[in-house]
Amino acid sequence: MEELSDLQLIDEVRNGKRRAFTELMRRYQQRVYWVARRIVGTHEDADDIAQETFVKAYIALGDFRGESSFFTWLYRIAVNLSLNAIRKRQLVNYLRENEIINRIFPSSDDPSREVEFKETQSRLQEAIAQLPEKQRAVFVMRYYDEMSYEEISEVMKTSVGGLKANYFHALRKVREYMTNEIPSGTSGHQRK
Amino acid sequence: MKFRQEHPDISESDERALVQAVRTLEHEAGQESTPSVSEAYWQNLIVRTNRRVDAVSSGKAISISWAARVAIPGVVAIVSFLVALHYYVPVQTHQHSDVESIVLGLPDRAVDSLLTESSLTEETLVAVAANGNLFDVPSEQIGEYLIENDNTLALVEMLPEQQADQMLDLLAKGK
Repeated sequence: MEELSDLQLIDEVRNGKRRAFTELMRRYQQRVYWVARRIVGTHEDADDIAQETFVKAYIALGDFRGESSFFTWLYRIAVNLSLNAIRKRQLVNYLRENEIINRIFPSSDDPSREVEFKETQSRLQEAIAQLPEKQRAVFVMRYYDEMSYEEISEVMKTSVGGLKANYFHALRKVREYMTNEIPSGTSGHQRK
Repeated sequence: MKFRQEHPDISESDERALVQAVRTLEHEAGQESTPSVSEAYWQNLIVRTNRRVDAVSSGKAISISWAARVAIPGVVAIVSFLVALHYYVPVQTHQHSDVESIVLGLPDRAVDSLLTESSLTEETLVAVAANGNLFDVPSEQIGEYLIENDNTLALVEMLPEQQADQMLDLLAKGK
């Protein structure tokens, strides 16, 4: 059976064929999940963002004009949701650091909640987590997905020059973090 | 832009060198930067996402069907009723056969007003009678009335003195 293009599948979805949307999900769910996972850092959040991305895409499919590729459009939704998730988490962390949450919700003292929030991360993931949100998103798209600056520009709605600067800064910060953070026993090289 | 001022010329080779350095560090760290996810997870993700899409789209469908089945007919019915009320209310003909129903249908103020006017009318009649206008009828008719009813005495007794005098005068003139 001939494989339908994204636009053909979108037309079918618009004509009420839900299976076509499942096919679109099958095509892109892994990329959507991983971009979210690398930006937000945790599986739990990435799982939720991946689902929410497709729900939003399904609802807004009528507005999709085909000016960019479906994947770029989908990616934009996923990146925006991921950046929002980071902001929310930063707010939660701020409230937690200032013990505001503990005052409002005393039950959140429960240490088990803290444990479920934490997740084992690689050094690189830790380094990425230190980046400002925009640099983080650009780094993920460029470093992992090897997207062109033009594609990232469509997703982020930012100039290519600005993206290059963001990526360059991100790379330097990641290198610096990893150089300083690699434990001496992990590799033969001890770095400062 | 700040970054562009700090790094006006970021060459591709600079970028490649940095990427290579990071990849080397990643490799040296000896950790998988991309944790593995099982195939079952992806299947499960599709199922759960479809469920969420269903929930959202069915919510939309419910609201549309509710509007189609309940809200729109309801609004149409109310508007129709108001239009009908405005244009087709039966015109009151003022031809009520039952006086009682008319009186009962009158507002309290109107009833009070009528009662007051009625008492005024009575007073007016008395005043008219006192001025002699009440009996401004042909004396022959009065005479016939009194004779036919054979009640002249009672009639005279009931009359105030002044009116009785007037009546006697009239009778005298009639003779």
